[in-house]
Amino acid sequence: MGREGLLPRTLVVELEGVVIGELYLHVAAGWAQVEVADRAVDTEAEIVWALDPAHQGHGYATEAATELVRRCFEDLGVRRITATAFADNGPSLRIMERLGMRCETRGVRTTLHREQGWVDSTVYALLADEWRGVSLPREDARP
Amino acid sequence: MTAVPLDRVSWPLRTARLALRPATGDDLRALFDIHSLPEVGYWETEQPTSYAAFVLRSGERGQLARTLAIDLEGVVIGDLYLRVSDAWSQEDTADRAGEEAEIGWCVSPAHQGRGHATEAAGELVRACFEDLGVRRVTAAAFAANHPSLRIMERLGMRRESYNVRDSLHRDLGWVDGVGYALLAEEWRELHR
Repeated sequence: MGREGLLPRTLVVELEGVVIGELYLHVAAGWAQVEVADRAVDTEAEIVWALDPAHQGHGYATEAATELVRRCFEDLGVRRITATAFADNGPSLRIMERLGMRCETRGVRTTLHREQGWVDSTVYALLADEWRGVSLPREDARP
Repeated sequence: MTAVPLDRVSWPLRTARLALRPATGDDLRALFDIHSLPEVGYWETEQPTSYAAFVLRSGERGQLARTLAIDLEGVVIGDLYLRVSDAWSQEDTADRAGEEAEIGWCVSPAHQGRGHATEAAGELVRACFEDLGVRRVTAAAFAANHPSLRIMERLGMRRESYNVRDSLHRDLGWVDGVGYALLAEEWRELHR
């Protein structure tokens, strides 16, 4: 935790004084061409959650992650949130979907799992304007 | 990230029409002349503003060490990008996860439309799997960069990512990005 600097990015999830899980939050620059990179600084957040199995099934992870997403958009002012998971981690994917996140990446055998070998991964994303429920015109307007 | 293991490859690589080799300082002028063209820089990570800036970036950011020159009958007509990194794994399996390669390409507009980029990138993909021994090759682009996407598809790469407004373009604002990938076993199946 300390060596890799994980602790400063970790939020504790507390239920009536008991730590039942954690959230991970990493804010970074969005991808940008060099000339406009200053406009992309701290515009993206990656989030992760983990809950004690003894407290799963009560919606606590969704409740905690929902508040984290709100803080990311409203307080931190990021424009995009991503979350990554093993593709067969159904419970985590369901939370992403409950948060309104969209699946953007389905990576085939990208990730080495210690027991399952090479497995698929997914990345979900959500934009600030999607979260606000505002339908803005697309900037790219592809033909 | 590991250094590009270029010594695992016998240079130059040769295709029907082209030779591919690690770029050197002697190639910088030719590469600058290509990359400073507005239509080339439009989709690239950085548009060089001067030869001096281009030379500086090539050295300072280690860009040159990841660049292969595409040589057509003694003339540099473009370049390839190659970055080798560790595959993604759980921490305790990292030592057997092996490597993957990210690739990119650029051919001078004067030489486009003749399949040179596909020919060069196809040979680079082969070298990645057969000579470098990576298990996965990836390439990323702006979703609207259709010529580049067609090359990825000709190489047999699969689209794995479609990212909505994740990439900031200097003229277009936030636009969509795509990621393609190809696994060693898929490549072998295509080239049996």
